[in-house]
Amino acid sequence: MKRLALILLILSCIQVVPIVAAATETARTFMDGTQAYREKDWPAAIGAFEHLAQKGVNNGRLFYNLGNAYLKNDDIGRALLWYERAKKLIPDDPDLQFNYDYALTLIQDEQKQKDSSLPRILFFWKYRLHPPTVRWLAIVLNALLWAALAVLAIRRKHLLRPSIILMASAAMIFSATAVYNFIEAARLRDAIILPATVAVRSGFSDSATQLFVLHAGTKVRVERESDDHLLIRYTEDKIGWIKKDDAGVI
Amino acid sequence: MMRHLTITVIILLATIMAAEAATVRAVVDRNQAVVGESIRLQLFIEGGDGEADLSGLTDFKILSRGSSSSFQIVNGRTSRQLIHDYVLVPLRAGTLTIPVIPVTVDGKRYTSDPIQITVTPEPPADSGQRDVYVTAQVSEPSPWIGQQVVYTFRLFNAIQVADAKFQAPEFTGFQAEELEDRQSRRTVINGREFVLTEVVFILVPVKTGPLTIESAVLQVGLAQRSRQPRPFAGMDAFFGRSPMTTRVLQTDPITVVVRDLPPRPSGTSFSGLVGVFDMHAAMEKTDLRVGDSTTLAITIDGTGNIMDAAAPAIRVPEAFKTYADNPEETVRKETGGYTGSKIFRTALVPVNAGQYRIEPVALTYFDVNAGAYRTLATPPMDVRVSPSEAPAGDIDLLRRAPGTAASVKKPVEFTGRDILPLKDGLEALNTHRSMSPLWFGLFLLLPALGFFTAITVARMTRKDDTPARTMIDRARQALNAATSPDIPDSDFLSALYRALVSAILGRQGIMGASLNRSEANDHLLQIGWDENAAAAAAALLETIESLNYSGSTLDPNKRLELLAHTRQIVRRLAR
Repeated sequence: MKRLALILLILSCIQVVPIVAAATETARTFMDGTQAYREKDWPAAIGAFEHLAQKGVNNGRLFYNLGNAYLKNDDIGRALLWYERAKKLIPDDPDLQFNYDYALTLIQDEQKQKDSSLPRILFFWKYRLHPPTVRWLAIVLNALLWAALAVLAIRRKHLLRPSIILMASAAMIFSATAVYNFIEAARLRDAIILPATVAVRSGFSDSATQLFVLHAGTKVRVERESDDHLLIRYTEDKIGWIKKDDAGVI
Repeated sequence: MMRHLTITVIILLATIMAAEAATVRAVVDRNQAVVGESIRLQLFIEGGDGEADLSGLTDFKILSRGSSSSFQIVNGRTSRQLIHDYVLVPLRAGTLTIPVIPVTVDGKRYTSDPIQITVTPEPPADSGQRDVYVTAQVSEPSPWIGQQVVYTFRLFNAIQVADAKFQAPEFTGFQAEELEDRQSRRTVINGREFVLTEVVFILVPVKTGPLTIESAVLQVGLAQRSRQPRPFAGMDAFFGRSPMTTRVLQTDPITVVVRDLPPRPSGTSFSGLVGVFDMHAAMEKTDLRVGDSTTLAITIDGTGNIMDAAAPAIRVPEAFKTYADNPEETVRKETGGYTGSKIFRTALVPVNAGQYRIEPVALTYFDVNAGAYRTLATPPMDVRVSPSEAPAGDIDLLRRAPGTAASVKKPVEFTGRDILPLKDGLEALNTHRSMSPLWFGLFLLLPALGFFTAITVARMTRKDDTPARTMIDRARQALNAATSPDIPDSDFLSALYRALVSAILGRQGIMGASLNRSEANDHLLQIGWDENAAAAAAALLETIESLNYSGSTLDPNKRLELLAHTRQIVRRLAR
């Protein structure tokens, strides 16, 4: 019996050791990145943070740090790309908002107008609340609705009826918004221009007509993609092809 | 025979494949044009989808007008036609060729036929013969670095234009800012009246040497002149339905040679201002008491980079405390460039009595007209400070407001710009997992499942409190009580009576405690019992009742008989 216990203990140690070692290595890489940043060695900081991101660490704070390192390294395109990625995960972070706003002042191209004001007024909750908040509101309201319906059905508390109508409306609105957000996230993709200057052309080849020029940090909508190129839209009337390497999809 | 059949099948297959092969056609709406005039090119692709490679059209500017598709059914065969629509604008005069345009459909390459276009040059701009043209010029072809240059783009149109899209040059090597107001006026060129629209940019060169301002490009729609008179053409013009043609106009590039500033004269401090400026100073009060405040205002005004003016150094006697105010800046963008003034106010508070002199304030700037540095200076100012009427110790100079302007609330401005620091906590390594649509759907579904489960369980466990159920339960309880061996005869008979009455009434959903024989018989007949069975049950009820009231003792066999008979009836009724 003792022997069996010993074998189990050894086996569990063998299982745990690589996990602990990997965690230690990840933490060390992160600490190296922050140390390099403090020593103003921006390329080293970028290398460490990028390594973590490529290993699959999906964290808004890490992406924020990457944005900072790129911004300090005068790479406004990649800085905004990582800030945008961080905004998807920690949209309410005040530091991120401040640095993002600062980075926006450094880009050359005029920012696109957001959606027209009427939808923003009519569907204000979609624009004021972040997708995770909308999702959880939909889930909570839906749970409350069914709980109230159960009470109504079992206990016959007819006083609950007005509040159930309200809850049902709110649950439907937020559920529909959450579904729309999922569809929007799956269908609509934005990208950030990375090099200092990018010529947007009418075709794939370098000799195709240059339609207009975009600069680093400008946000565009990805309409379509081929093997090596992206069809991007800057404004309603400005659309064209760029190389895939010239933009980072958020 | 077999050989002939094989050849026939091959020929048939080849015919079908040939019939299904894609075709590509290029069609233009005209093959003669003037430089800058648009030509519509349509690329018809039949039998498949494909992207056209227009990189060979180097003599034209290409504007995509989108794609459309259509289906046709001819002789029972369905075919699809994809049309890519383009606007071509010739970039030079001569005989230009639209080369073969390759289109890849399903991995196979198809090409259109080449098309020749004859492009004639435009007449000179100042001849007045053109309907619409553009020009660009700068106010100073050889400016100093930092000197503002006005770049003016002009559109002359003798006919109405629509849908104008202006693309300004890059202005590489300059800081550029456009004047917000675009002015239009009428002008006459060579006897012909034009509408002149000006777009003005203020440019400030930031590096020396020859700098080229690329072409400004304007795309406009022009009402097309029909070569053949059409019926109702006048009505079309009246309703604004004239066919439009697109023109792309561009200016010639302009080269500007930016000169570096000459070496600064020794002993001067260059303010960084380049332009034409003036400076003057004003003292609010020159006769003060100790502890009073006065304001010295230095005003710099003129044309040039006035917004870059820094506060000039003011040398004040040690007997004064100074409090600098935020500068007041008024800068206008005009067709001559940036012009305006900047006022630097400093509150002076004497702490000792006496006669003092404020030394002249100097400012050195680069005069672009003279091409040399120039130093401006204010006259010296004398200030007489008399002792305060209040005791010296009562004058709290540090707490006293130095002037009325200082008490005015002002917006907080950034004094430096930087980003906020890193997030160095190890929580930055926790991977964020966002909720997938599947989980979201499950979270929505779970409460609904819970609801239906709760309803089902409630229904299954709900107590049936209807009169029928209650009476049947009561009959069973009474029957159970009657089966007890120690029960006295009177209680035994009462229990049997109660069981029978409850079962009969319960079957009809009626609450009650007593029945006589005829009532029992009627009830049983009403629920569909036959007369014999009803009569037997009613007789049993009467027997039980009479035994109970007679008080006679029951032998065990009689008890068993009565119990069995009653149980049989109750069971039948409770079924």
